[in-house]
Amino acid sequence: MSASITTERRVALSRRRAPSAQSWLRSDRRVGIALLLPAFAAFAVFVFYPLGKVFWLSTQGTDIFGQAAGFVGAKNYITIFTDPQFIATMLRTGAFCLAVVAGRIVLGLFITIPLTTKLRGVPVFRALLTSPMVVSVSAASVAFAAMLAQGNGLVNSVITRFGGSAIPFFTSTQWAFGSVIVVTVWGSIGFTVLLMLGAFGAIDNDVIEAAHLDGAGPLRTLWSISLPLVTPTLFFIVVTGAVEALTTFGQIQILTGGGPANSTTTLVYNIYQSAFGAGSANFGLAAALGVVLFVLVLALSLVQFGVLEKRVNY
Amino acid sequence: MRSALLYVWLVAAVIVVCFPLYYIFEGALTPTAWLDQGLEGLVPIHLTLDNVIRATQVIPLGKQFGNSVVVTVCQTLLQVTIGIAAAYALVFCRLRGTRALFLVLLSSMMIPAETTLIANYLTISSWHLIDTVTAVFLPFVASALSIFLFRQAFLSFPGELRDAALLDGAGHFRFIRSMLLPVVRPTLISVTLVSATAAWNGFFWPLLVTNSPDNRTVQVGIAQLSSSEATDVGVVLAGAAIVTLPVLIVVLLAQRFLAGGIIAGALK
Repeated sequence: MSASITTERRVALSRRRAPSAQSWLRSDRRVGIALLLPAFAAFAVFVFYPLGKVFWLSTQGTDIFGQAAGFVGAKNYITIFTDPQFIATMLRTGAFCLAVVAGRIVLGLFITIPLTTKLRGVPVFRALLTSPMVVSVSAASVAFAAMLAQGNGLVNSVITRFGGSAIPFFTSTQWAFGSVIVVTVWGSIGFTVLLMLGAFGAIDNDVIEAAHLDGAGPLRTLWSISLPLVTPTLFFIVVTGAVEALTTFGQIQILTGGGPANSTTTLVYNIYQSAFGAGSANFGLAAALGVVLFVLVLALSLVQFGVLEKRVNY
Repeated sequence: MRSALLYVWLVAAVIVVCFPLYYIFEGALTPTAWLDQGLEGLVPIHLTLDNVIRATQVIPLGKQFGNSVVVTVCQTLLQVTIGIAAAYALVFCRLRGTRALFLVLLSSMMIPAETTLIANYLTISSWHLIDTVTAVFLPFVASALSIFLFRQAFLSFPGELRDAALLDGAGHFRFIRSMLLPVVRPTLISVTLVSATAAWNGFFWPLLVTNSPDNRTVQVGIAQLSSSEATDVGVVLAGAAIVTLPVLIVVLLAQRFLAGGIIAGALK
């Protein structure tokens, strides 16, 4: 009874209130456009316009105040691509990305695989081993700077106590690059393990059991079944890890300032130095470097979209 | 036997992976003189808040912490609100060219912030916002990732149900608040957490657009603490502990949502 009354009322109401379908659609669209506006306005002002502006700036000379000072064509690009220092920076950036990505994948797998077994206490280990996730780049760098300092650092005090000589982790060209890589890998290991746990966890248990029934040992199962099934995630970590490593800034700024003797200067740090470094303020050059970074990130993203569409497995 | 080996390996991994985290918190609460002893300094037997107090005397850590809270709250609220609005429009409002708009959105994710930051710096500077807290979050009020994640969640909501609610006289806002959001609550929570963590942890941009100690965020503050007080390990680690603690608490309280959000973002 009451139900039918409500239905009647509803029909009456909708007849009274609802305008024609077409005008309703129109108002829906108006609302939709209004709701999209803030997001697209923000992207226009802070993503697309600046991208265009960086392209434009990269063709401009720079006056002493860092302001654009006239069209110079490809001069900034010629400057950077003929500068042996820039070539060295690009090679260093490539080596940095490779090392960080390889470190994440190898360490990540070595940590994650034991966590996928049915050992007791695995949840506790999982929580502990993903915990570096909570530490920001800044806090991680600051902590490692304290731990590895040459004078009063913990690690060097242990080394010297046992008769070794202190290692200049961040102040020698021999060690600084490797030290920054270690800090970067440590900072991303929690997230890496978390992603890998998600991928391994999504493997259908029946597949693993079928392999066992067919007589495959745990290593064989891992190699021939589990690893191929998690390749899309590994691939995702490789590509996003490469982009992340490519855009590394905080660790370098805090730990080494790009030194000693430029031995830890990567592409993004070079952008910072060109635009905001002491006595530099060359926005034209920095913009050209920014365009190089954009092209690299774009290429990596396109590879990711292209390959992930096809799913890398089997 | 095999499980014994695995345990040894896992324990070794925990020691290596968790040690810096332990050192941050133990060191924050241990006098520098004791930390300087080396190995002995790792035994937490002289606990004190002295380092934290001294850290707040060297830099305006309280003020900077407050700045970071303001930045995090504003950036997260705006990213979530603008994200919900945009995703709602893309999914339900039958706009023409939704696909093109969506591609624009995806393409914006391929533009690294480190490329656009030179131009954004000039924009912020021409608006006279350098050295303000507003400058720190303004360029990040909209996030393509959060729009993307909300869109994925909204797609599972039946469109007819939404049309029925609106024909029944519910406004867009009321529909979103009392029907749509309760259904996508896990997404809402994880997007909020992922946005908030990213906002809290920001370093490069805040370093560029702030100058005076009182307007710095706490992440930039502790980096400066580390270079100016390098010999005072306890104070440096107190700084690191102060910025890490809020994230640690949030993660402990909401681990499953954070993990869910990160993985959802990853498998996009």
